[in-house]
Amino acid sequence: MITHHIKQFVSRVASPLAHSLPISGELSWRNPVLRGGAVLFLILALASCSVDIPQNASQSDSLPHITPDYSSTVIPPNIAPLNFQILDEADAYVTRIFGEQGDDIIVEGKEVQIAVDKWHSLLNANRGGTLQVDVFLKRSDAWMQCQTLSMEVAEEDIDEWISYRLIEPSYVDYEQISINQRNLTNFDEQVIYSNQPLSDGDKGQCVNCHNYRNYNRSNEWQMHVRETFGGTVIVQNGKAQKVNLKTDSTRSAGVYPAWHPTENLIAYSVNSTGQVFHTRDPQKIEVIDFGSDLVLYDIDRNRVFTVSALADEYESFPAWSPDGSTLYYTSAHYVQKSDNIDAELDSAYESLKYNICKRRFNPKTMQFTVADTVFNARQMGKSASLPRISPNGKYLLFGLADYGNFHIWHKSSDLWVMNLETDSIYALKEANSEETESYHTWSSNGRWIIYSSRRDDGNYTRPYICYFDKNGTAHKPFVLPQKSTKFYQQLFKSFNVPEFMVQPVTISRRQLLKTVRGEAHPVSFAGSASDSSSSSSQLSIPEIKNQIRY
Amino acid sequence: MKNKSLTPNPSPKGEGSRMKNEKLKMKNVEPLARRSDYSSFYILHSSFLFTIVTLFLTIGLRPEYLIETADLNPFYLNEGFFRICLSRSGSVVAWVSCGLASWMVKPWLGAVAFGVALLILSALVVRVFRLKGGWQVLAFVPSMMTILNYTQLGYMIYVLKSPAPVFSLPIGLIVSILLVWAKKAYHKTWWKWTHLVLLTVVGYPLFGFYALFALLLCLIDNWKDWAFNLIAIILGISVPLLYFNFVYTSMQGSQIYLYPLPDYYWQDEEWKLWIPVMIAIATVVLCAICSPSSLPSSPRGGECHPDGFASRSTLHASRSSLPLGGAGGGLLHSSFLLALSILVFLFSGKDKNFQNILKMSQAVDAGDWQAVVDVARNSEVPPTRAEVLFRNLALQQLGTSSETMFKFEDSDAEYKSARKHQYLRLMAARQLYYYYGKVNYSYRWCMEDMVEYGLRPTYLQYMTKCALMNGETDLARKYLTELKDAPFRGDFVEKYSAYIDHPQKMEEDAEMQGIKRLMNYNNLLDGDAGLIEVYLLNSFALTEGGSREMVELSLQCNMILKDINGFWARFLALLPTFGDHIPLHYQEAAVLFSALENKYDISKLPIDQNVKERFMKLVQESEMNSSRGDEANAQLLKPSFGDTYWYYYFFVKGLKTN
Repeated sequence: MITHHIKQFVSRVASPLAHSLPISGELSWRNPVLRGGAVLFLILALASCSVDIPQNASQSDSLPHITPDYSSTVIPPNIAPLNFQILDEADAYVTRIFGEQGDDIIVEGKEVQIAVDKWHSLLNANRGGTLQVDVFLKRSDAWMQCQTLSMEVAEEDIDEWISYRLIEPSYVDYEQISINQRNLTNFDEQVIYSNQPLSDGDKGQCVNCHNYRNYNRSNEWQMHVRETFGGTVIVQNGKAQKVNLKTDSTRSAGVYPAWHPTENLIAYSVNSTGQVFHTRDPQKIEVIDFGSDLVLYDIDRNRVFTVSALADEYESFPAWSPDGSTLYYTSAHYVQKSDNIDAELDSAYESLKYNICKRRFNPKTMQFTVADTVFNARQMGKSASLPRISPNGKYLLFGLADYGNFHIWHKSSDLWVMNLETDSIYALKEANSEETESYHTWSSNGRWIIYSSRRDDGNYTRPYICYFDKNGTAHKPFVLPQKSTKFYQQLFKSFNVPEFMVQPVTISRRQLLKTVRGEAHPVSFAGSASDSSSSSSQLSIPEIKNQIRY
Repeated sequence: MKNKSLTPNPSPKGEGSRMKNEKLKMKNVEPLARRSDYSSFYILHSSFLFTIVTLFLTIGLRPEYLIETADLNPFYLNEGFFRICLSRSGSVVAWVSCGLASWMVKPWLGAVAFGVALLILSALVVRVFRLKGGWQVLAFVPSMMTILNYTQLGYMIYVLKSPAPVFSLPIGLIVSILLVWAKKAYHKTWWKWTHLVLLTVVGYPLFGFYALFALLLCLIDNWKDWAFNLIAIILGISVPLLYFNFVYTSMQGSQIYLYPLPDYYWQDEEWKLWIPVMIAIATVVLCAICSPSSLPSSPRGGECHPDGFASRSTLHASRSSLPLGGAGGGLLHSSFLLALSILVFLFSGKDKNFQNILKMSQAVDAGDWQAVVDVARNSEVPPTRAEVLFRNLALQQLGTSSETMFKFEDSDAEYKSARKHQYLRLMAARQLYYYYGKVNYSYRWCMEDMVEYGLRPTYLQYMTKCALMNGETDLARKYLTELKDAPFRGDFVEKYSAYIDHPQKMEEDAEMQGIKRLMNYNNLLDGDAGLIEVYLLNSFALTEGGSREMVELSLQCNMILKDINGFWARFLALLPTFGDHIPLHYQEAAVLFSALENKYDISKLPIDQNVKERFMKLVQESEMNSSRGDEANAQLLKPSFGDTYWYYYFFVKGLKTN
C-alpha cells in the first residue's frame, strides 16, 4: 500500500513539481539539498495521506491482541495518545479509533502511532463517553475485522505532569540515575537532575526521594543526593539550597520526606536500612529497616526536631493529611533481642510488620500528640507501607504486603484503601496484579492514582495509572503511554516513585548542579516536637476495628 | 633523489606557474597507483604485510579474546540502543564501533573487519595528507597503534565503559580524516566557514572527540588564517560546553572533550595504555603538519589554498629528498613495518593466565567441560583463582572431582592488569553461581555489572537463563527480545525462546536439570560482598542435606576449607552410596583425618592399599625432613605427593581470592 502511495505521489505530484521549479545551473534536480527537500516533502505528504477503511471485511470472533493493553480501561480526557502495537500476525493492518463525537482516527500498520492533535480532539469530543477501536487484519488478500475494543473517557483530567526516577532494578551498584519529568498530555520528557555531570570515574552519586509540596503548585520540592556531593537539595522561590540533615542527635540524614501542605516544614523518617539478598526467592532483594524514627525539619529556622524516636518502634514513610493537621506514618513494634540487630533481622525480617499510625500536629506550638493506630495491619498478619491521603481527606491509600515496608521488592504488595469516614478497608482489586504494586500517589483531584507495578515482567517497574471513581472503586489501569510502542521492551530501567505535579519543575539543571556542587549547610537540633507522654516506649495499639473487605 | 617521480614536480618556474600546475592537478587527480610504480608497490606490499600482521595479532594469537570482546560489547539493532548512543557525544562513532565489535563473536569476520578498517585508515592518511614515497609507511603507524591499543588491554576489557575501544579509535580517526578531506575537497571561503560550523555544531554530537580532532587538523591545514583559527578554537571549546550544559544529561564533566576515546585513567600504571592512542593521534597530526596543503602559498589570507604537490616549501622538498624510493626504499619500508609489528607484538598482552581464563570461560558457556579441564591440564603457568574455580566446576560437572580435583596445581596467580578490580567476580561470577545453582546471585552480578558496564550480551544471556530457572518467563522473554536484535545471537534466542513456549523442554535440558539438583536448599538472606569463592565455599560447606550432588559438593568444600568435622559428617552420610570404591580424594582425606584425630575407625573401609602405602611414605618422609621448614618440605614432597589431598592440606595455604 505504501509503495502504491509513493508511486502515485511521485507521478502526480513530485515530478511535475520538480519540473515546474524555476531551477537552473547549480540548483538542479541533482542537487542533493533539493532532492533531500523533495524526499522530506514526500514523506510528510505520505504521512498525511488518508487511509481507507477496508470494505467488505469479514467479522472475527476474537478481540485483537495489542500491547500495551488499553482495552476496557478508563482514561483521562487529556492523556497523551495511547499508541499501541498489534500483536496478531497479518499482511496488513488498519486501525480505526472513534467515538460518538469527533473525527475518526484511522492508522495504517502494525504500530499504531496516533497524531497528538487528532487524538486530543477526539478525546475532548468524547469526554465522559467511550472510545472504540476497530482493528482490521489483512490475511491472504482478505480483510477481517476483529471485535471492537473500547475504553471509557473520564470526565476528570489528570495532572499534566509527573516526575519519576529512572534507575535499574539494581542491588548495590548504580551508574546513571536521573529524575525526569514527563508531560502526560504528550510525550515530552525532560531531565530534572542527572547524576552524571557530577560523577567522575568511580566517584558516583545517587539521587533519590524527589518530593513536592502540594503537587508542585508553588514550585517547591526537594531531593536527596548521596555519596559524592551528598546532601538534601531544597528548592523554593526559584532558588536551590543544599542542607545536611544529619545531626548528632538523630539516626541519619533525612530519608523519606513529606512536605507540610501549609507550613514551611518537611517531615522525614530517619532510617538505618540495609540490603540483603535472597538466595532462592525470586523477590531477590530485601531492604530491611534496622531502626527508624521521625523528624521534622523547619526550613525557615534550619533546625530539626524529633517527632518520634522510640527504641522499639520503627517509624517510617511519613505523609501529611491535606490540611496538615495530622501526620500519618508506618510503625512496626520490634524488641531487639541481641546486640547485633543486623544479624538478628536477617533471619527475623518477616516478623517486622508495620501498622499505620498518626499523630496530630499543632503548627503553632510545633507539637505532635501521642501516636494513634489507624490501621492495625499486624493483626491481619500483614504489613503496611507508604500511607497517602487523598486530596479530599477521605481515603487513605497504602501498600499492603506480607511483611516489611520496602514493598517495591515484595511480590505480595498490593494497593489497599481505607475509607477514613467509615473505617472500611479494601484492596483495589482492579489495580492490583500478581506482581508488586507500590510507590502509589494521588492526582491533585483525587481521581487518578499512579503507581509503580512490576506486572509486565516481574522485575522492571512501570508507571501504571488507574481511575479511582467517586464510589471509591479503582478501574483497570493502563501503563503510561509512550510514543514508541517498543519503549518499555527496550528500556532496562525502572520507573521509581512516580509523583504527580500540576506544573513542571522550572529550575534549571545548571542551577541544581551548582547547588549540589556547593557545600551542604548543617542544620541544628532543636529537641523533641512531641508530647512528653510519647517518649514512653509503650505505645497504645488498639484492637483492629476496621471493616475489612477482601 | 633516486625517485624523482615520487616527488611533487619541483619546478624551476616561479610560484605562480606552480600554482597553475597544481590547480590542473586538482582537477584531474590521478589514482595513487598510476603515480608511481614504486608507490603502488609499496602500498600493495605494505597492505599485504599489514593484513597478515593484523590477522596474526588478532585471530592468529587470540581468537578467544575477540569472542570475549564481542560478548562484552553491547550492540542492538533497535531504537532503544540507538537512543543510548545518542545520549552522549560521538553517537555515530559509538554506534558503528559497537556494531563492528559485535562481529567479533565470529572471530574471522571481526578480524577481517578490523583489518579493513585499519587499511582504510592507512589509505586515508596517505591520500588526504598526500604522503609520498617511503613516507607512506607512516600511514601504518596509527593503524599499528590501534592494534596495540586493543591487544594491550587484557583484563581491562572487562572494566572499560567507553564504547567498543577496539573499533572506536580506528573508526574515529577515519571519521576525523574524512572530515578534513571534506574541508580540503572544496576550496571556497563559504565552504570553509560552513564546514567549520557543521564540524562543531553537527560533528560534535555525531563524532565527539573525533570531530574536535578533525577541527585541530583543519587548524593545522589552515594555520596562517588567524581569524578562522581563532573562531575555530572558540567553537571547539564552547560548542562541547554548550552541549554539555544544555543537551546531554548522561555525560560526565571529564568526558566533554574526550568521549568516545577509551576511558583509561591517568593514574598508576594505567596511563601507559594511553601511549598507543597518543602515538596514533600524534602521527596523524604529524602527517597533517607535513601535508603540502597545510603550508601557505597563497598571497591572500583567509582564502583556502588549492591543494598542490609542488607548491610548498622546504619541508616538503626536504622530505622528498630523503632516500626512500626504489628497491632500497621498499626494503626500508618493509623493515619499518616489520619493526612496528614486532613492537606491537612485544607490547601486546601475552598473559597466559588471561588466555586460559578466556578459553575456560568460553568452554563453560559452550558446556564443553572437558575443554575446561584440558586448558587446566595443559597450562604452563600457576593458575589464578578464576582458573581454579572454573576447573573445579568442570570437574564437578564431569563427575570426576572426587578423583582428580587435588591433582591439579592450586595457586593464586595475580590478575596482571593496569587497573585493580575484583576480576574473579567480573569474569566468572555469573557462570560460577549459575552452574552451582546460586541462580539469584548469578542474576545479581549480571544486573550489577550491567548497571555499571551496559547491556553486554553475555549478561543478558545469563539473565535469561537465570530467569528461566526461576520460572520468570516474562522476564526471560524481555531479555530474549533484546538479544534478538543483537547480531549473531540467533541460536541462543531460538534455543531459549523454545523453553518459554514449551517449558517441558527445560526438563530435557541436562544443564538445567544439573543446576536444579544443586538448588535443593531453603531460601535465606545473605550476601557475598563480591567474594565469590569464599561465598561458594562457605555456603556449600555449611549446607546440610539436599540432593546427593549437594552433599558431595558440601563434602568437597569442607575438604577445601580443611574442616575435619564438616568432612566426617558428610563423608559418613555418603559412605553407603560409594559401594566398593570410595573416591580417591575421600580415601586420602579419611586416612589423613583418622590419623590426625583418631576419631573414627577406618580400618573396615575399602581404602586402597596404594593409598595406605603412599600415606605411610608421606609420614616417613615428613619425619625425616621435620627439621626443614614448610616451604622446603613443600618443594621436596611435591614430586611425590603433589597430586594428593594430603599435599593440599599441609602445603597449600594462604591463598588470596579475587
